[in-house]
Amino acid sequence: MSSILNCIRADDVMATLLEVKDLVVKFALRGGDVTATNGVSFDLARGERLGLVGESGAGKSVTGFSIINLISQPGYIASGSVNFHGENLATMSAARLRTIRGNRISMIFQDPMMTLNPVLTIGTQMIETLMAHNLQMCKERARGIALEKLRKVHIPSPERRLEQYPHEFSGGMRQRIIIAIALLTDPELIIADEPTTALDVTIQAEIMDLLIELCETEGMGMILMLDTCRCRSGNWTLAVMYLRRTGY
Amino acid sequence: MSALATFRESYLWYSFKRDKIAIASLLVLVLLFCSAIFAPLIAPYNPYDPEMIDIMNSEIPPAWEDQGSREFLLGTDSQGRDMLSTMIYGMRISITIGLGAVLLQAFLGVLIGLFAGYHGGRLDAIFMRAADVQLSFSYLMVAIFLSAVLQAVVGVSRFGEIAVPFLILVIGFSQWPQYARTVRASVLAERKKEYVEAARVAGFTSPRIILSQIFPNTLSPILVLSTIQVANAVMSEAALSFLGLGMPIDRPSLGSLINSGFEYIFSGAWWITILPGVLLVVLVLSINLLGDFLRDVFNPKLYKG
Repeated sequence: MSSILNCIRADDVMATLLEVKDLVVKFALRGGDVTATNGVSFDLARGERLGLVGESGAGKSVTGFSIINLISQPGYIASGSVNFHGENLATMSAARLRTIRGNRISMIFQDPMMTLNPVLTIGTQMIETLMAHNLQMCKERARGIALEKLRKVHIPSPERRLEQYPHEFSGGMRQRIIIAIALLTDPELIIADEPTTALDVTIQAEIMDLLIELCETEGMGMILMLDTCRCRSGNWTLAVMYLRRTGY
Repeated sequence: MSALATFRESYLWYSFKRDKIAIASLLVLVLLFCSAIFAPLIAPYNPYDPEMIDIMNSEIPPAWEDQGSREFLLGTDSQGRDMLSTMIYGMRISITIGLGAVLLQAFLGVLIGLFAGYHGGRLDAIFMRAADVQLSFSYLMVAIFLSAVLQAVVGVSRFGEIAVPFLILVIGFSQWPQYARTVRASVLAERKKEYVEAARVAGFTSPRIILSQIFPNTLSPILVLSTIQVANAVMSEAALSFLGLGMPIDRPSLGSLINSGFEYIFSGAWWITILPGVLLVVLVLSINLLGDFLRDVFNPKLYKG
């Protein structure tokens, strides 16, 4: 009880968006539990950007997935808490969680070639995402929002692009579209799991600039996971993950 | 871009234009379906109307034979019914049962395959073992058993009235595992892909992921399977009717027509059994050839030698 009160007070004073505390994630395997993260802790204020840096296998992606409580079986959150606006996502009901996941917290993945559904036009996918979160949403309004977000990520002639399939886009364009999909519901927090790893160097810079620009204009918080520190601009808090723990 | 323009640029249309067999079988199929749909307009007689049947006209050979008559192009059967009209009406019943049974199979099989494949675990195990059990004994055995029971319960005369829905149900329920297995196999491949993960992260409920994200990705095997299953269902119906368990002789399908003429084949009246047989072969063959074409288009990795 006292921890909840603390969080609410902290929320007032520092406007804490997300507070991860001693997060331990384990995978139940046949030979016993394997610890994937062992005491990850960090705070994120509203609109703050956190870079989570660590070598591969350090537990960055697992941390990202456990924030939205979506670790695939046989993984589970063994202890610790993930407080989003003071509510613990680790113990929240599935239905309540769905109103946060993909709505107030969005996630961007590593490989833009794989994360779009190959047989649906991007318009269909964007409209579907909007309607999944807001049952009162009509198709015309959803289309309008989709167009607005595509413009925000600098996709030229979005009206035409909305009718096209993922294979008709280049890798950089696809990652922009994925970012646009993440932006659809105006989230307060974006978790970007190595969003530039699958792209070439010049496109990497473009995507990074775009993400920073969007965070600043929209006032979004962002957790960026990377394997190297190569950010050139913007205010970043940096956390290093090593051996399944965080340190500043 | 309009839908028609998109279609004209598609690979499907491109390969269709170059495949003579596909064009021919589609033409034949369209012709047969149209004559089945517009049977009352096309057929010269109404084979269901006893007023138009005269027993004196029985066993008249086709028009090109010596004793043939211009009135009955393909001759008449043992009751004096015009063969051409009876065949067109019979094909109408065969196609109705075939399409109805496939719709039922597809509905059950696709739904079960999608959910079993996506959720896995116990649900998957139960449905797939049920499918194994069902495929392990012949559908004919089940159909013979059920129709014998049904004929005993409702009586042979009333059985004729409910024969069409009965055959649709029997053939539909006996073949759903084909769809369930095919769909489940593609779902198992699709559900590990990242777009499914992305949909889950985006907060989609699992029925929504299954129906709006995974289902469109399983459509091409479903389409190919459907053509083959329509042909199979028409054949199954013909087999059941030939055995006397399907359509009654006063509302014959192609199978019961073949059956009705079978006794006369040695007395020289070959047309009663051969002509509906040829029509059945042409119908099933053209559906199968079209299915082969679709399979080649949707699976370009399968090169024909």
